[in-house]
Amino acid sequence: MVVLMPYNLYQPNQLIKWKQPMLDVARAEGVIDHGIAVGANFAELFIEKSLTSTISTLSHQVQSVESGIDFGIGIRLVFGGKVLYGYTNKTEADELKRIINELAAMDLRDPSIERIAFNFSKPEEAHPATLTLSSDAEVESKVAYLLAADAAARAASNVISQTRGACRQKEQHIELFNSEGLHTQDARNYIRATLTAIAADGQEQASGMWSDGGLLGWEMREQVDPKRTGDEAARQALVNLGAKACPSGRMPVVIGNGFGGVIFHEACGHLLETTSVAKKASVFHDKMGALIANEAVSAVDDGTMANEWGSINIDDEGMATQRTQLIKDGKLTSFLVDRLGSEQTGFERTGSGRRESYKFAPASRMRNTFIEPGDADFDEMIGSIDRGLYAAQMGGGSVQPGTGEFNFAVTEGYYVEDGKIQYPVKAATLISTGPAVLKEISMVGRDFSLACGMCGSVSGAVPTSVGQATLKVDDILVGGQG
Amino acid sequence: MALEDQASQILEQVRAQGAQGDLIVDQGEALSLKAKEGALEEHKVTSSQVFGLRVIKDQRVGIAYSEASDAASLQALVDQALLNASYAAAEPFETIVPNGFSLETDDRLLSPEDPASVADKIALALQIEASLASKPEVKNVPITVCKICVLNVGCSQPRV
Repeated sequence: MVVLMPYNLYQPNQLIKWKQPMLDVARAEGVIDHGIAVGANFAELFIEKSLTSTISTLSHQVQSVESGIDFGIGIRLVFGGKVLYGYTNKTEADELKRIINELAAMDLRDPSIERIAFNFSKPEEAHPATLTLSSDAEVESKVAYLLAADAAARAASNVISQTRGACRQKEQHIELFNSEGLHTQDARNYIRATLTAIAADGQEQASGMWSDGGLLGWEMREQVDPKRTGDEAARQALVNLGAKACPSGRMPVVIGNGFGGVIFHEACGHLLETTSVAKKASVFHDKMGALIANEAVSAVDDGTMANEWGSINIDDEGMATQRTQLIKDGKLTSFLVDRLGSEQTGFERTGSGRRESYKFAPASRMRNTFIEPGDADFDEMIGSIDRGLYAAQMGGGSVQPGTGEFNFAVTEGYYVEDGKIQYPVKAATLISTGPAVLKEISMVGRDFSLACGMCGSVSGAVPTSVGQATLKVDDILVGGQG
Repeated sequence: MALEDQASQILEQVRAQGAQGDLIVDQGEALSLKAKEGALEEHKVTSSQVFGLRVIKDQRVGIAYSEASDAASLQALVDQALLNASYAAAEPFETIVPNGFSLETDDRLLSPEDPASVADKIALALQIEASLASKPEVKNVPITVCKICVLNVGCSQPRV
């Protein structure tokens, strides 16, 4: 075995020193004042500096080590209900004011507000990180982790032909100023390690994947086991390699915990964001208080969970995050509300204004979104099925915004007959709508877990967790080959 | 500090570590307008300045970028590129050719003066959308985009 290790390891003392504030307060005052002077009734500066690192392995070799520093200032101006947005990598006041002038070119008017003096506050750090990217990139130990996971996957079977590993870390510092007197700062540390295993036997090929991540530093290595990562990626690949064609038609489906929650996230969660509710584009826009799900279903979007991937201290509009009960015993209890959504709908903000980076205006977005655990037993769920599917692992899919019509791929599935799991199946898809599937969830188990994902929407790709315990959907259309 | 001085300083730091390097500085300005149903759906004004560094040390290539131009970030840019290179496979045919000359494009030809104001461009975006929507065979114009970008790219290499 050939293992490529560093030839001549370069050891900087510290990758970067952070300077706070990132924009001089007097300059921020001048720019906000300029926004007010051209007639904006709300002006905001979002300053971001992020350090990123991605280490990639291909089987037992380092494929690449990449890194960079993102920095920019986002300027948001609101004129009545109209939002204008610009950004720059430069910090000069003249450039920031030029952007404001170009943004306001068609909306110039007399000032309608006065800036409230900045009142600096910094949120309490609820998600501490120790091995941050700026303190040490820890490339060697991340490479060692990925190569150990590769070795474990290969040891599982000689049909594991290849693995792909990735360890991504990001340290994001943000600072916000606005015309309502807000001045705040926050730091976020993200880490994620993933291994994909490919199994090949003749012309047949299949893959499996395992990923760990969180809102913390590389101290995550103390909580994760490369052998488990490799074993699990290989196990999924091997199951899929031997899978048969999946029967199709309407049938009950038991959906596995963790990433199985992607269906709720995509097909229901997005419909609860005021981004679509305010436009009446969501089928749930007028359903507050109504029974929209089976009474077995309670769902939450929680930004406060310690060190979870989708957690935050404050949102990207500077508001403290919170735990938001979306659905309680089947009834709709809250939307996800950002500043603009609150003005448009009248609902209280929920600390859900999020954006990928300074390049995006914030929008109402999910954080850690999940169906709360119930008390059903896994064997009981499987035992109640005459003919159906157990979707142990879910993959990607597509969703129609507004209506929640979806199709999602099952990446690890089993045919169930006479109350027993029979054999693995491949190429299954689940097809339904979010509102319909919510009413068909009849049993929710106890084995709750969360899984990491990147959610793409109007304000870019943001880290979100999806989650649930294993649950049973009584009736759903399964696409297959059989 | 002037941009050229920053570029020189970065390459000096690269050389001080016994490496070769070249640096691309990408500067630009852009205006993006999206018109829908007679109104602007997006009006975005942006400008950018990004440093992209490639280093070669002991036949190993490392790259890194920085959108920040403060001294600490530019030092970190050099550190990152060298760190990344130390994990790369040797590529004996990858070289940086020293030069002692500069190349310039004809900006009058490739990037002529733009006399149109932002208001003119907004009016144009709305006019294009309205004119398309008025055609009987057109049911709707899902999106009309008007994007104007000006880019300046400079490349700095060590001189011999």
